[in-house]
Amino acid sequence: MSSTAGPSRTATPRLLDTYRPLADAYDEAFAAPGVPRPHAAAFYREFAARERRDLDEHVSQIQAQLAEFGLDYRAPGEERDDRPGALDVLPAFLSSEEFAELARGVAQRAKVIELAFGDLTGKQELLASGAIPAELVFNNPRFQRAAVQGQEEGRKRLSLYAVDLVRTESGTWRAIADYTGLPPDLGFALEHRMIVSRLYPRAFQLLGAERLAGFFMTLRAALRAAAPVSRDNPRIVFLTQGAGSRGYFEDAYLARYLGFPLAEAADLAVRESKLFLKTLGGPLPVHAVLRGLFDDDCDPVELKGGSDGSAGVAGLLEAIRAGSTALANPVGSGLMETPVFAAFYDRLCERLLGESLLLPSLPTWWTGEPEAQSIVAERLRELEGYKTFAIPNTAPILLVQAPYHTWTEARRQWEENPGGWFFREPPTRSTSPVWNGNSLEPWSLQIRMYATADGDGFSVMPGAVAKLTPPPGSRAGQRVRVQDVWALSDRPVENVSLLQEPGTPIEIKRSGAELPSRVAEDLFWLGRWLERTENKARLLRALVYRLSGESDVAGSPAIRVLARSAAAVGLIEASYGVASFEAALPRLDGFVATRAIRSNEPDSLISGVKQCLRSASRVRDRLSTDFWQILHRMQRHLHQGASQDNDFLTDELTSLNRLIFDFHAASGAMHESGTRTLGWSFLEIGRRIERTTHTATLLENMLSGGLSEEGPSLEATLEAGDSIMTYRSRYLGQLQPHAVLDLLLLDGSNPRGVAFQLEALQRQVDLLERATGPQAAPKRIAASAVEAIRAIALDDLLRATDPRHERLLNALETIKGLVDELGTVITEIYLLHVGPLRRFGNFSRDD
Amino acid sequence: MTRYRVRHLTRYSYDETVAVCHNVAHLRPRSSMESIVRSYTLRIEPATHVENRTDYFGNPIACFSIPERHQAMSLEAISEVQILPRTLPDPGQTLPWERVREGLRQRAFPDWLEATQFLFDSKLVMRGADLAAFARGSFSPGRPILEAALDLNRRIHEQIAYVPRSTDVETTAIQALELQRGVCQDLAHIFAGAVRSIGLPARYVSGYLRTRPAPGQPIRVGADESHAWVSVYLGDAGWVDLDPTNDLVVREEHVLLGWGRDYRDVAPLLGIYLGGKNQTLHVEVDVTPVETSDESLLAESHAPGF
Repeated sequence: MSSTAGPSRTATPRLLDTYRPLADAYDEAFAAPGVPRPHAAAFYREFAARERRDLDEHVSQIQAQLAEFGLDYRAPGEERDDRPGALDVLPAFLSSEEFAELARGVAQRAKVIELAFGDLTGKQELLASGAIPAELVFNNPRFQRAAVQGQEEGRKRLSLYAVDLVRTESGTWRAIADYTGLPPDLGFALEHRMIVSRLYPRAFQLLGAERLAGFFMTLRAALRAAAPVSRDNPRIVFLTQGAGSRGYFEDAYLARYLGFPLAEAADLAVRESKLFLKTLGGPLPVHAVLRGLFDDDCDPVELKGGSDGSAGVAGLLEAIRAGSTALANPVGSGLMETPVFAAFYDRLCERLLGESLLLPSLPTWWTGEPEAQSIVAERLRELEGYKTFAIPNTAPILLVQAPYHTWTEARRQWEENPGGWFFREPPTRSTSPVWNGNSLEPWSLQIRMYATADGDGFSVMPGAVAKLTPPPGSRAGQRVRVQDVWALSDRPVENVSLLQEPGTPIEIKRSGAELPSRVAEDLFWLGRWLERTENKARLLRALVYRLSGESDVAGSPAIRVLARSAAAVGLIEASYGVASFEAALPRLDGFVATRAIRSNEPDSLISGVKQCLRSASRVRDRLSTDFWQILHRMQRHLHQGASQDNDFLTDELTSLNRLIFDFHAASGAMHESGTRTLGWSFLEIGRRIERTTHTATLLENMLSGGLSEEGPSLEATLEAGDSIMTYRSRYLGQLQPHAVLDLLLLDGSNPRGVAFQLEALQRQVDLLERATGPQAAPKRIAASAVEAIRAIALDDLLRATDPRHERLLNALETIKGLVDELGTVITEIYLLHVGPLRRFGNFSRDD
Repeated sequence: MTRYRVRHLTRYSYDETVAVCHNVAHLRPRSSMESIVRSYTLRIEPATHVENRTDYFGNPIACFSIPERHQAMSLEAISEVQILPRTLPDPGQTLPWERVREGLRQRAFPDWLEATQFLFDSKLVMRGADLAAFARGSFSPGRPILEAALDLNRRIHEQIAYVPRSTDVETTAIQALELQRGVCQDLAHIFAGAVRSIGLPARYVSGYLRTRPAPGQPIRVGADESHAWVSVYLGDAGWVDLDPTNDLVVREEHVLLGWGRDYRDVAPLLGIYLGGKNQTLHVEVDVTPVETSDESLLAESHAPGF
């Protein structure tokens, strides 16, 4: 938003007075300038008190909350321009009467489409009778023949349906798109509601806005009902396209809200016609899948035409046919998104339900039919023309508006192949006030409503997502906005939460053996990256502190010890650790800021934070919101540091301090909120491996510098090893090598010391074994490491007979080697190894 | 009346172990008016459970997966199929081809919906102007449809060179027409694409040819592998099978396996495997006549069920 100084308080006292609805469009909120429509009046009465700076505040609240949900997250190099649009500070409203009428229409339309879907992928009576032209199905790229066979009639339910609506000049709503394949942006609807309702808590209560939770409870029940075997507690997973795909965060959010595990295709496998979730505890049967994959991508064996077999779950269709699992919506339901079907829903509703269609589409004609041809021929110039099977989300080819077409050419193209086109009346849209950063502007509105299967019919979500497009010449440019739509109620609103369904005792579960192997792998790496990055931050802080201080100069023993360790973990170039090379190098202090903290080098601090985010994003559904928020703050803080003047190392010290606080907060969030399940074990093993390596590396560099100038280098090592306070409390200011080594190496009570890590690793390895069955190798390696550290006798090792401490260095080397091996073995045994899927190739040709 | 024993062996070997594979096979012949399947066995190594189903077009399919580690997989299908004599309508007496096209639009034939399945674009057979122009070389205005189809069959045989390995499983009808060569699959695709481009239905048919010709008959092309031809819709006179690779009307030398819109709908094996890297394929097809007494045939042909 604009950062120019706003007008004074008195210059724009009443934002509402400046809002001018368009003369030629229906405005959703205002009947006339300054006169809100009755159902919205209560909101605008409260809103009227708001000033420009309040709205600016709302905008930043929205930004902050989007960040909190992770919606502003972008993987490096990834653009998210396909998001549904920026969230506006204002909600839009549907009065209770209007919502009730719309809900009846949406539910009826969903039913008609569901019945038509069942028929077209079943008996095809609608084709035999000519109610739908056969060409529109047989020639339709969305018609999945493989999904037709074997699906029994009773299973053809649409668990979820969505429809886009616009309001015509006469004030009635018309459908412009139907969604039957995936639940489009449903997670957004939920998130947006959370954010916007918090901006206006009083109005939300006062207006009696309907809650969304009840709808999601019905959706959950619909998915339970979709599971083929009637079970008290079917296992349902949410199948997402995976990290990095559009909508992944919304999928994760929705899965969590619904209480379904989030799975990627690689987490699922079909064996003997049954679908399983691959977990550490073994494969677990899956009874229903809420899918975020397109029809084509569900099963590479039978669906995808191309040579790349990577997408989907091999054998899924066979599992569905065998009746062991169900997909919601069913495979092949994408057929009903065919836009040209809109031309037939009037007829179909009469035929299938014996009712007239309450919520018709915009008038639509497929010109493969002679009657439609003559209608269109007369109105060609005023209609929008589309290719018959134009795919939604890609811009439809507008025959008559393509700039290079003359009318004659357009008509010729159409007449050459009339069956290749369909036409519809251009949509008109109502307007809704949108905050453009400066004033309220009337933007064009369309809404998306959702329905879920409920009994024989459908339940409609009491609310909607509005998509708004700016008027020409708007200050806000061409970006689409989204508004949360509140359906208002004239009766008391029930407060429901998804966390507990009344009357249904849930099964008590304690074990985490249901952990998908892929998730275990991500948690393992999250643990490693968190610890590795935190250690680097500590090391850099100790270094920067000394570089910026008065007492130490570059090349002092303490700085040299730290520089060697920093070089060992790749933060700075290896030459900095070697005194004789340093003269030729740029000054270390400048280098730290540019290279070690913020460069794109894979070993820099900021790369480490990005790795944490990447691993965390793949297990988003298993991390607390707090934890996620802390990770985000880290990245933001590091970026903010970069935008300031970096010449002063004290600024770097501040940002490193802040980063380390954040790491503490992250550890706290994990330790105090993470249940000690198998997932925890993998996170913990990852952390302990890294911390062992870190502390051992610090000690190696302390020892290899010789201990002649002990004081400063010992202190620096203790600081980088986060044990200085413990040391001081025990020994006050007396710094001696064997006491430092004892604390950082042998003292099993120091959570930063090596002994502590190795014992913790041994415990976790035992836990894994107990949960998933005997495994000799990890146990043996963990035991060897513990043995190795117990065998160290410090007094012996520090004798003058070994001035270079070779025996101690060897012992450290052995321990580092063992934990490294442990990491490898754990990966091999427990974690996922998905090879590429291959397609049976160029064989058995008919020659 | 002829009875054949068909043996179709497919063996894949991999240079690395395959962890699991999922497959859908078209290896069981479908029964039709002129083709009765008397017996069928499918042996799979490593042995596994097979679900026998039919696909969208009514072809029998075998769905199976092999969940154990293996380095080779073999499928041996052995069937006995009895071929009944067909009567070919007099080509000159069949409907003018435009009448068939119009009759479909008017939904005038009882089986119009079934025929309409084979009228449109599929992955490997897209309609196009070149294919339409090629078809019009035979389908001149008012010409009886079978006469025109037989002429197209002959023209494809004469103009499109049969060249083994000149195309692959992804080659489309339009590409093959451009190349002016291909294998039997491509010739069938060109035929189907040509007639669909002028608004007439055609099926792609997969099957086999008898390995050694009957006494007095020449050796046919495509006899020791899977074979492919087309089935053309004549309106009230039903479907007639034509083999453009050999310029033949399909009678008693061909054994039907299944039909669809193109090769992909009836490919012998569709599947996915995990691991295994490179695959080597070995295929053997034998189609041999089985001696039977006329009496037993007569008895069978009156058995209930067909």
